[in-house]
Amino acid sequence: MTQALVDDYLERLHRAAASLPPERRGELVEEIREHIEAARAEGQASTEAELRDLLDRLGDPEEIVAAAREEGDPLLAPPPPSAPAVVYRRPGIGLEIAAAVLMTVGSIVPVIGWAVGAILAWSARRWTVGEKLLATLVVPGGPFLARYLASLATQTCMTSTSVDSTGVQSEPITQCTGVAFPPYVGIPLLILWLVLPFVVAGLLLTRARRRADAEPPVAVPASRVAPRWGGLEIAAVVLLIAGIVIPVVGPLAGLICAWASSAWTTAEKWVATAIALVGAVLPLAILLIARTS
Amino acid sequence: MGITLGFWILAASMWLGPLAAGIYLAVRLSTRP
Repeated sequence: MTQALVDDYLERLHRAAASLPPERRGELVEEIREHIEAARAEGQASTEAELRDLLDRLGDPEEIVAAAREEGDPLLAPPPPSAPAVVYRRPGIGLEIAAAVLMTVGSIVPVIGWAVGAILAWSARRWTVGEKLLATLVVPGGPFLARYLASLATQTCMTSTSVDSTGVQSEPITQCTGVAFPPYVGIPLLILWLVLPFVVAGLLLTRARRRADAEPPVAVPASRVAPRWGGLEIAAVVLLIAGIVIPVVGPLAGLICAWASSAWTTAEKWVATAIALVGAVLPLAILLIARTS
Repeated sequence: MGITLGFWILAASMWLGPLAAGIYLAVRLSTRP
C-alpha cells in the first residue's frame, strides 16, 4: 500500500513536469524518488501515516515543479519574453573606407571614381572640414589622374639643319611642341602625385578609426552579426590572391581591405603587408642585380 | 623573345608576395579557434 502511494505521487509529479525539458523532467522525478527512498530507509516513513506526512511535507507535485522553475535553474527558466539577443560591436567606418578607396584606387576610373569618393568623403561625419579639404586637394583627381596627365604632357622635339645655297650647313635648330617638366622636377612630382593620396588616405582612415572607437558601441541584433568570413575578408583574400589580374592596384586594394577588416589582428595585418611587399619587391631586386652583374 | 620571357617571369614572381599574403590571411582566419 505504501509503495502504491509513492508510485502514485511520482506519477503525478511526472505529469506535472510535462512542460519541462525531458532530461530535467526525469532528473526531477529521480531526485524526489531518491529523497523518499532515503527517508524510508531511515525509518522515517515506515507506516502509511508517516509516508502520507512525508509526501505532504514534500508538497504538491505542481508546487515542486513551480518551485524548481523559480529557483532559476536555467534549464527550467522560461525563455525571456521576446527580448532580442544583441551583440555590441564597435562602430564601423564603412563610409570612410569607401571614400578613401575610391579617391585612391578608384581614380583608375578617370574623374568619376575619384569624384564619387570625394562626395562620400564630404558626407562622412568623422572627418573635420580641414581633413576633407586635405583629402580633396591631395590630389585632385586621385593618383591615377597623374598617369593620364603624364601621357598628355609629352613634348615632341625635332632637330633640323639646313644647307644654304653656298653649301654650308647651318647650326642644328631644335623645335619642340607640347609642354614637359624637366626630369628633375617631373619625376619627383609624379611620384609624389602617386604616393601622397595613399598617405593621406591612410592618415585619415586611422583618424576615423580612432574616432569611431571613442564612440559608444553599437547594438546589433545577434541574427545580423556577420560570420567570420564577411564580404570584406573575402574581398581582401581574393584581391591578394587573384589581384595580379590588375597589376599593383589589385593586391593593393586587397591590402586595404585587409587593413579595413577587424577580423585580423594588427600584427597579422603587418605580417601580410610585409609578405606582400617583400615578395613583390624581392624578385624585382634579384632581377635587377642579375642584369647589372 | 628574351624581353617577353623576362617580363612574364618578373610579373609572375611579383605575384608571389600578394599570393603568399592572401594565403596567410586566409589560413589565419580559417584556423582561428
